[in-house]
Amino acid sequence: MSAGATEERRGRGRRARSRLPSALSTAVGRIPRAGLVCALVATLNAAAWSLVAVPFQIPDESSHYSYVEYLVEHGRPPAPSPIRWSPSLKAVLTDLDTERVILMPLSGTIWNRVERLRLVRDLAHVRGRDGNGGSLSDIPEPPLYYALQTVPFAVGGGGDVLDRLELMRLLSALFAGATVLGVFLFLREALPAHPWTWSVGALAVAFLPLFALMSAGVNPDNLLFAISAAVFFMLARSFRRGLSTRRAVAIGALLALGFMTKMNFVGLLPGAILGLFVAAARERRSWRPGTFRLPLLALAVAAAPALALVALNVLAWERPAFGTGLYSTAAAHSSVPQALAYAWEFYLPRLPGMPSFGLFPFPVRDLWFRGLVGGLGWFEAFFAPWVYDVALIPALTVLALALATLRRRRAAVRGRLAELAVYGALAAGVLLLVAIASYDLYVRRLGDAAEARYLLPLLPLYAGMLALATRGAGARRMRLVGTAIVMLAIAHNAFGLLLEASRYYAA
Amino acid sequence: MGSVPATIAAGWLLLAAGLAVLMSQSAIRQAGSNRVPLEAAIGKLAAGQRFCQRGEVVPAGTAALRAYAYPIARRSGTLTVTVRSDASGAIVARGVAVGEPGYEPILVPVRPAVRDETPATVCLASAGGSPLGLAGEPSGTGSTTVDGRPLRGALRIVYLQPHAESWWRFLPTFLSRMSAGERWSGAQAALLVLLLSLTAAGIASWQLARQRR
Repeated sequence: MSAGATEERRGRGRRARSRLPSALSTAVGRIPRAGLVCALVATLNAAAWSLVAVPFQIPDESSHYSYVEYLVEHGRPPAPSPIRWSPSLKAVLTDLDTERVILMPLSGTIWNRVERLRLVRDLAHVRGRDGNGGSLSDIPEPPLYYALQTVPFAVGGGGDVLDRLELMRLLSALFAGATVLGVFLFLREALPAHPWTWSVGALAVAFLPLFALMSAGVNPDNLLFAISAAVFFMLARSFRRGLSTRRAVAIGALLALGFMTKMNFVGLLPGAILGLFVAAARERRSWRPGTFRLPLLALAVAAAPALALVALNVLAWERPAFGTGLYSTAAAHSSVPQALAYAWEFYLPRLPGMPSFGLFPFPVRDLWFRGLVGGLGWFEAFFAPWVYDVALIPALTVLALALATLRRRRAAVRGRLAELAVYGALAAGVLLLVAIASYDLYVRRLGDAAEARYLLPLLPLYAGMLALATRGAGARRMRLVGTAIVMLAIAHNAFGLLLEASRYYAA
Repeated sequence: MGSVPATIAAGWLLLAAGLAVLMSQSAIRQAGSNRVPLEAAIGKLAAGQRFCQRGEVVPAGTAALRAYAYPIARRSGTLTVTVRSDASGAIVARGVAVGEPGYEPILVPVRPAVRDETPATVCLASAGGSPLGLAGEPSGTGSTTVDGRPLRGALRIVYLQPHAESWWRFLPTFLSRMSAGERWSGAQAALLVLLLSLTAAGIASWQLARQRR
């Protein structure tokens, strides 16, 4: 090997490295400033929530922290085994009386001197990190989010459990920004006519209290929301500008990232695959085999890392290939008709002749709407009951305005029916997955998965509805309605923050 | 075009007014609780018996206790509550109440109000009337006795402040509670939260107002 050839290779390497930041800065430079501003708003707001939310009182946070801790200590994700916290985490959970605070909404967090001194003492002296990675139901989750969280964990390595937790929460806040940016970009592609409404939808998402609460905690949901928003964006972009090779690879990469982030992502897969094929067929205006080269390329890109992860799970990590726990459908005493009836009643009122599963009489209002408006804390802190009744007024108004826009633009809607069907399939996949997971819990007598946070991968559609509603007010009143929507979201966020704080500090 | 700044201004005014109304609401608030969950009955307290629970930390400012003891059939007899300091062995507060039938826990005002946070033993003595059902956590820590005999389980007790106060007046107490781990004071944490929230909301408002299309 000559010195000249080596030098040339080094030169190529240097040029490639210098191209990378420049490509990145070009990509960032192409993002509208308004989108970056919305992302900044979401990050700041989630950071505020992270300071209010009591440590380990955001759903399952202790298990997710434990997973990251195990990953840092052992360089691999945990294998399922009965729960065993590390000494340092166990001491903090005990000192914060975490379990009892969760169990008893009328009990605040610790606030007397004796308990606080005990916590401070243990934070300083109990440093052991030898746990087994959290609870059985979370361990099978894929490792991507946890791997990213090892960075703030390592940065806070010299600190105590609460220092590390806060740093990890700040990374989650950045994912909130990424989600809102994805939502903004989705709106730009899907509803391009009125740029101002993109900010309305994105900002309303940034200030949604349930989203802010989840974004304030350590939970793979946060990366899932960001990837889901990016999938919506890329699909919308492919519908509007065509499915290019680069876009197909990008969608494939997003699918791979989603699969490596949280098993719930499989709910989006059918819709995403449908989207790829529909976009390709629209591009070529045919359904011939050659039409689907790009969708197949995207699926190959998605499958390669996913298969590698499955292989690592089975061959190296002694973990379930695809994850089990909440996602097992191999439950005893289950049946397809019963599962379908359960899925129906999970969202809609029970029809005559259907079995009763003890769910709510009108789940859309009593469970999902109520949860989205304000089921904070560990989903047990609620506003006064009248708030949910009053909240129906703006919610129904927004719905009516959005429908009015669709009606007024019905010619355009007809031209985009296939695209709308893809968004519908994405939503249906998520709804069905949550219902099936809940049914699985039901037949195993482990409760249910009726938590509004599981619908947050559909935030782009929520934002789309708000953007449509803004347009529905007509050209003269559009800015008035859009501003009112965002101001209402800001107020909702403020009162949500106070509800969260009062749940723990003024019970 | 002028509608955006005007709507934003109106929104901020309404939000400020709403927060002011909320902060003015008065209620008797918790001084603290032993966070024992209400899971099940842990036992009964018959007339003439005395129930004691060690290991309580009675918060500063406690002027009443809500002991989760319920008259089982009819009006209870007199229920006497004593708070005995672990440090001095002296009774630092005492109160008497009568429970009405139903599922409402008995509210017992105590005198004098407990000035400082006090590790203590809380005792309930029933004198006549219906037996009382005791509720809390059946698998509690074994620091409870009835007439000196160990009783498995822990009674839920909530400690209440002396009088109703608005959120404005309650704010210093509220902030002092926001500092678990002592990495910063509650006031510093609250200030940072306020700063972050206001910045986020301010930028959002500016974004709406500045964008022309």
